[in-house]
Amino acid sequence: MSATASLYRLFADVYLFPEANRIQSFISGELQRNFEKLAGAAGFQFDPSYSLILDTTSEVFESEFIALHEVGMGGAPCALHSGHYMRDRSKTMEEVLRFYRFFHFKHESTTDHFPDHLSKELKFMAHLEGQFGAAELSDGDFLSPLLAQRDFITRNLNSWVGELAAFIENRSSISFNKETGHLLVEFVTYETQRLNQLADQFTESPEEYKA
Amino acid sequence: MSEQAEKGQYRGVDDIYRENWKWDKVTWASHCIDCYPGNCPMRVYVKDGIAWREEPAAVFPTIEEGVPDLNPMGCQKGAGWTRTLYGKERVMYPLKRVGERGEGKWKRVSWDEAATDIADSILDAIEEKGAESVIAPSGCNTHTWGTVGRQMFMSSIGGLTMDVNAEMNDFAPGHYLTYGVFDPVSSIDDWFHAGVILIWNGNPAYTRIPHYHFIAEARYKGADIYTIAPDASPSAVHADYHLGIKPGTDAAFALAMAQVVVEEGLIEEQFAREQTDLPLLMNPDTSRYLRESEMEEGGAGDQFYVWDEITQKAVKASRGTLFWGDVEPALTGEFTVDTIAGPVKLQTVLSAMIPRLQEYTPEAAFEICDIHPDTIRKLARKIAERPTKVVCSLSNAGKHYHGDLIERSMLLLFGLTGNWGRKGTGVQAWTTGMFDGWFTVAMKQQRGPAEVAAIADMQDAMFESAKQQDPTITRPILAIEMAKMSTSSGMVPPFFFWFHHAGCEGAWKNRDWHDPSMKRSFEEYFDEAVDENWWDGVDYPRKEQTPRVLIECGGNVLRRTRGGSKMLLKHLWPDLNMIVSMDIRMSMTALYSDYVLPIANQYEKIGFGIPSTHTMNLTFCDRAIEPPGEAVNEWEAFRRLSEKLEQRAKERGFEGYADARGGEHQLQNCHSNFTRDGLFVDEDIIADEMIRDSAMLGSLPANASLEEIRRKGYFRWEGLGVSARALNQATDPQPDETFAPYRDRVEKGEPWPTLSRRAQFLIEHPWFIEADEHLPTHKNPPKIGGDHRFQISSGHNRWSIHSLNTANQLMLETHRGAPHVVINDQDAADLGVEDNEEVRVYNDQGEFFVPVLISPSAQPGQVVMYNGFEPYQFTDWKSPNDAEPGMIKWLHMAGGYGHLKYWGTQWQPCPVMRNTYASIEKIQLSE
Repeated sequence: MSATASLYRLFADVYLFPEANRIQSFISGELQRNFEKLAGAAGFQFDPSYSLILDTTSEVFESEFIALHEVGMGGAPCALHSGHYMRDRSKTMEEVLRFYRFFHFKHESTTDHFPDHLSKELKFMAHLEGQFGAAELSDGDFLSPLLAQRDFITRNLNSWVGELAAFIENRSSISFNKETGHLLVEFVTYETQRLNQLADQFTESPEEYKA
Repeated sequence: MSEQAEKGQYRGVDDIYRENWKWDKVTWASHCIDCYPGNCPMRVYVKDGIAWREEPAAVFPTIEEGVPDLNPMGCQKGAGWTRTLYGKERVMYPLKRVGERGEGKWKRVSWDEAATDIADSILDAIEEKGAESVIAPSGCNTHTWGTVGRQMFMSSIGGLTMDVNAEMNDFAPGHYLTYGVFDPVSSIDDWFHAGVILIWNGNPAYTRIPHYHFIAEARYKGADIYTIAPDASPSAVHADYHLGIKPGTDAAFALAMAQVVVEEGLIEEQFAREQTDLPLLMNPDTSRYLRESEMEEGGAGDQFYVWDEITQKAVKASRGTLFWGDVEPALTGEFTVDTIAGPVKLQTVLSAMIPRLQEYTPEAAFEICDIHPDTIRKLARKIAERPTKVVCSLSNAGKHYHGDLIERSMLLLFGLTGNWGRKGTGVQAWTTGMFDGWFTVAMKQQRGPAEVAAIADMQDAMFESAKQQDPTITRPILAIEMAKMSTSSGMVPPFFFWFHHAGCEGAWKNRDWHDPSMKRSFEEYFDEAVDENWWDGVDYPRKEQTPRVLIECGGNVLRRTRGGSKMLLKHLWPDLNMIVSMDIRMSMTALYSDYVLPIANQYEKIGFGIPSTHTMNLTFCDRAIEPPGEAVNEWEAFRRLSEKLEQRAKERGFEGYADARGGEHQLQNCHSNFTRDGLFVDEDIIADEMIRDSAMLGSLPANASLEEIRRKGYFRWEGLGVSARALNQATDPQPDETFAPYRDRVEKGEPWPTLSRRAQFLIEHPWFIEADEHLPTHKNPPKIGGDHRFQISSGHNRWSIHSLNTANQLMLETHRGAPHVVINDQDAADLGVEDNEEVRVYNDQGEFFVPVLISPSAQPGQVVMYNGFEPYQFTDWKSPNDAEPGMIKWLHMAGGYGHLKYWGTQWQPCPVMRNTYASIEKIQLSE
């Protein structure tokens, strides 16, 4: 798996419901270390002052996760489903699901992971990144996953994670949540630019790119 | 670029849309919540485990030749249900509070952990304060599983369930006083038969969206549509006439029309003689009927008399039939009758009523209600002359303090003009019934028909036995008598709970907020009602039975309760050791709970629409998709609690006990009783049993089954079944006719379930006589809330079902998207407030802050505050309920007289909110 794909997966894990071992990896600094390692390998430059170490108890973290992302008056204030940031969630879910089906991405319609859940969408990006890498190696159709990555991140993730991070900034009392939110935005922005450039580069001059 | 894509290649986003989606399944659906009467058949389209959309199915056939069919049924709430299904407000996992109540701090827990903690709290409560300290508000979004699951659970522990009709204030006390039941309900298509439609205390353009077309169609046919409302309501816009009545004066208006009918000789005399107590003889000095016990030694106290114009004698009024045979009762007149005590001068009830009506000539009434005398006369003549009329009262008159007087006056007008028991006539309330399997499934020990057959046989035997004692008794009346005796279920009228424990006592004791004809203090009447045992068996919880556990299922007590969430949080919440909300979403009550248990929504469980004669159909909602997370249906939720309760009772050595009402309970086998040793667990099996049992008891087709309703989507009622409410609709459903209740009374002379066995306008109870309300009259609404300039009226809004859908973005975008009050433009100018400016609405009870919508549709002095919004949608989480004391009328605590006795959803005091007085002030912003 490429460093970029792993980075997507790392972010995906941050936004899954915090099981005990996952929280422990936040507290212990394991997330920070993994992130720094993968970001470097993926070429993602970020402000070194970001701290991804959780400095509160697992109880407080879980409670805030629920209050931010799962329930609240009139709905979770920082919902993790992209459809909640769009005009019509059903349309969003349909498009996301069509992407998943097209690229044979296994979607489990259980637990908190509706198809438009952030972690699911990030994992799909990792899935496409993997397909892209595999196609490159096998001289296959790498253009399909590449263009899909570009379109998916442009139409979906890049259009709402900024809003999510802003909500978290306003609502959260835990710096870890704010920091990961901002970093996610930076990463998605970076990836959007990277994928657009890559796609443009290829579609304008495919032979040069391939060379 | 995408045009160049080969199969399987992606070159642009349109490529992903090339696949032609095929639905995995299309299922029947409805929204089995309290958007009464609901029952809109829908189709839901499912793919990949997601319900993508729904649409009205429009499958109903024409029932009666010449009458429009019910199609299409549905509204924007139903058509947007998937938005709620996938809304941000869903709760998907059991949550345990980890912060202060209301702080919004939660921890996910397993069902097992939650159930263990709740079970222990229940056992602790029973040990400390008794079983009555476990309280379940009723909630009305409990279909199909919540009602029966909760009932079984609460019965097993001996806890108390609050009566839903008082909670939602939909009781119609005047109907009950007159008819002995509150809930006549015609089918919606019967509206088409009306010649005059009175939209009175209702706003069907908002609240009856799928049904409004019958009003429009009746109008095309020639019916005159009147909207009688203080404001130019949305329904007024579509009416032929809008009568802008002064708030709370509807009784004077109705009595004025009755006066015209009498004055102009427009009474339908045979109808009035047969159907009503108007020809019965009464003593004007005592305001009591002449009784057999006054005529002969050992005579009955409930045998009354009329004056026979043929024999010129007082003769007994038959209690077994409304028909008079050879007797010709005088409707009016004064007569001297020889009683045991000597000759007594008597008069008919109508004769006693006439002088009272003279106080309401159209000219006199105009001074009270602001309706021009000519209009009153014209409408009265129409009502008397046209063969058919409908009133869309929709239960709302009862939301006035003197709603009983309004309803009794309306019924007097109808009783004089032959306007019930015939197609296109009558008043409306709400009812349920027919779907008897809903309840028999809780009584059976085995699957299959045997026990239901035994229930039917037992009912036959009881009827025969009752007839031995009283040959005049009918099955509908017996069903009510049985219901009145059944106090062991634990369902109680909640006014004792509210008075002793919820904080209502303060407001209710405020004499200034009651009618001046209340001669003594409220607590004296309260104490007398208790001391006289008028509420024996249901007067719980008592003062010493401090509530310790509250289980909310399908309701939202902090949103709904008059007096407001602040009152409950102050007075009730501190006493509670455990608060549980079973809900699909984080409601206001859920926020302040200790545990929130996730409940499956519509489409995620089997459901049936509220069984009602309104729609005449049992509509089916299938389990189209699986519930998200760990949500389960309400039956399963209560089963899990029951299972844990049994386990913990065993582990703690919790022995059998008796509740304060004498019921014996043994929790060490409560789960095996709940499931009948595992026979009743599976949703499909239980639903199938419910349907088959109902078929066996006559309300559904003989071949009815889950399989059959899955194919067809609905069943039309074929009979009324066996429940008291349904039987007292007193009309056999016909496959090819609209349904009009009380036809058996008119066509067959079947007696009414009242003391007099007739529609009763004389209520002899001493409290009513003391208040001069023994006969219908008008009284101005008391100054509830204090002496303030504005009167708050209310009503259901167009955009939600109570507080369901209030967070639905689609619904919010169809109006201002937030709570608001409508006030008159002149009032706004006086107050110096701009449209959409937030104002403070306050009175002596409380306050709330809300933006104004300025419109001349509101009368000067009127404030229209549509309900349903969650308190958290208001500034400081103060809602209109905080300013509505929820007064109850003292007379409604009366008992010990004829039919004035509690049974489920029937006679009981209910809080009112119409005509609450308040002031409005501009908010002065500090610099």
